[in-house]
Amino acid sequence: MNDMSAPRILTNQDQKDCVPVYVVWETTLACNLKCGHCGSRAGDRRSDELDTEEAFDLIDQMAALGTREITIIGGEAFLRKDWIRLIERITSHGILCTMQTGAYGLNEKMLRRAQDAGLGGIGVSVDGLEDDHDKIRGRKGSYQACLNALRVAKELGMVTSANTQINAISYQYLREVFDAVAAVGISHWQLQWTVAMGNAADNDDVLLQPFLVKPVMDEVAEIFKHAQTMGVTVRPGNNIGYFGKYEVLWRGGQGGGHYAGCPAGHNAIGIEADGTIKACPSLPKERYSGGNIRDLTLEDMWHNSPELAFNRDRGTDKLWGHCKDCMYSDVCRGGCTWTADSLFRKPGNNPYCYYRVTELEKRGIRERVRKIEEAPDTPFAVGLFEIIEEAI
Amino acid sequence: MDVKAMPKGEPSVALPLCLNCAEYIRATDVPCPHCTQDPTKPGGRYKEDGFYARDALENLLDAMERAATKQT
Repeated sequence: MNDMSAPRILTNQDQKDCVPVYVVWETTLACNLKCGHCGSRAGDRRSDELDTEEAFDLIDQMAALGTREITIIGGEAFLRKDWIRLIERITSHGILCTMQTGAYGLNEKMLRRAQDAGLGGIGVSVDGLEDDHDKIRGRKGSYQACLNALRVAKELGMVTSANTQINAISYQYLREVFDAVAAVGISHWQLQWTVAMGNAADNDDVLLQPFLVKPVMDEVAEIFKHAQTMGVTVRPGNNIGYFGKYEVLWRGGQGGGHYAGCPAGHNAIGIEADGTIKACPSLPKERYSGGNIRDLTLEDMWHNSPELAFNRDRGTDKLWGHCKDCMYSDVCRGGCTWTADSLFRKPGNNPYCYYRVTELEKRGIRERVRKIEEAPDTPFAVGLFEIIEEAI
Repeated sequence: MDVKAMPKGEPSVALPLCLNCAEYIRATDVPCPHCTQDPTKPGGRYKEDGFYARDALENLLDAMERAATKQT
């Protein structure tokens, strides 16, 4: 398979039947990095993480519901002693297994074992050039570890993606970051905005201000075209967009079309290492937990938990702010739930939207966000931000 | 997976592309709210930036695939 996104492409039938096509699974919260923007505040493993047999049972339940791709994340997924066995179990069902990693300590031997177990590809987080990356990741040498893992994975024939967060630090060097990861032979470069969750809510200086979305997207569009000439696909993450003149560039064609709204809980599941089931791995547990796999079956939660079902009717009643009156409101529905909820503790209003920024600019307005309440010191914690409108 | 037993949801709305400015519009939008041109006539950025050629190639490949499927 040369395109990791293929199993994730949704059909109309997938959407009608609410098939949980794509699962992102935090298999452990243990992590060997100390990232200044980590939403889950990973570091120590959770005290009550699923054991191997419980994890196997969960995988079997995902397969029974029609899941086609599972991305294992952390923390750092490979710090689990049974991570290879989890990959084997996932792929034994014919499900594509991929891994998102910081790659610190991920060596050739481990990648070979993972590939033999069926791992289809890796996504490595590269959040800047060497100094910035090592600083935000909290480890000297972590940048070189990323490039080395990508290089080795490429040599092994795996699909390789570098994933870069766009924030107040990295946005100035996106072209240079692309050149660095392209040089080691990546097939994909995925981008997403840094979201105001966990450590990023504490260190809110790292957040890009919404009024910078337009120049950043202009730059990304140029990189996109350049990447095409090298055979590298630049892919917008779920919180990058939406619409405007570049939508056709990133999402148009090749069986795509345009952004179709947040798939959390409609065709996607997020799992925490303790067995908590959510609509998206990044949403806070206290408001978005559909239950725990130790108490309920996945099927029961998927069918009956309202915390997982909020996107399925594609309603627009939860939209507010400028998203409420947007011409794309019933299609986009405020974009990424995680991005909006992390700022405002409720979804439905997304100041990081390209179309919104350009429309406001036509009216001589720009927006910035300001923190008004700190986030508690727990995984996936959110603070509270407000939007300030300013004349340009 | 028992499809009949799955919870039901609404599929996303599919928007057409303005064949002049290459931005997404409503099927009923004439003229295009973004560029004020006729959205059904290929031209402008849609042609100049290669989207016309890209879509034509995809349509051709789709047609070939459908034809091949029909033959088998």
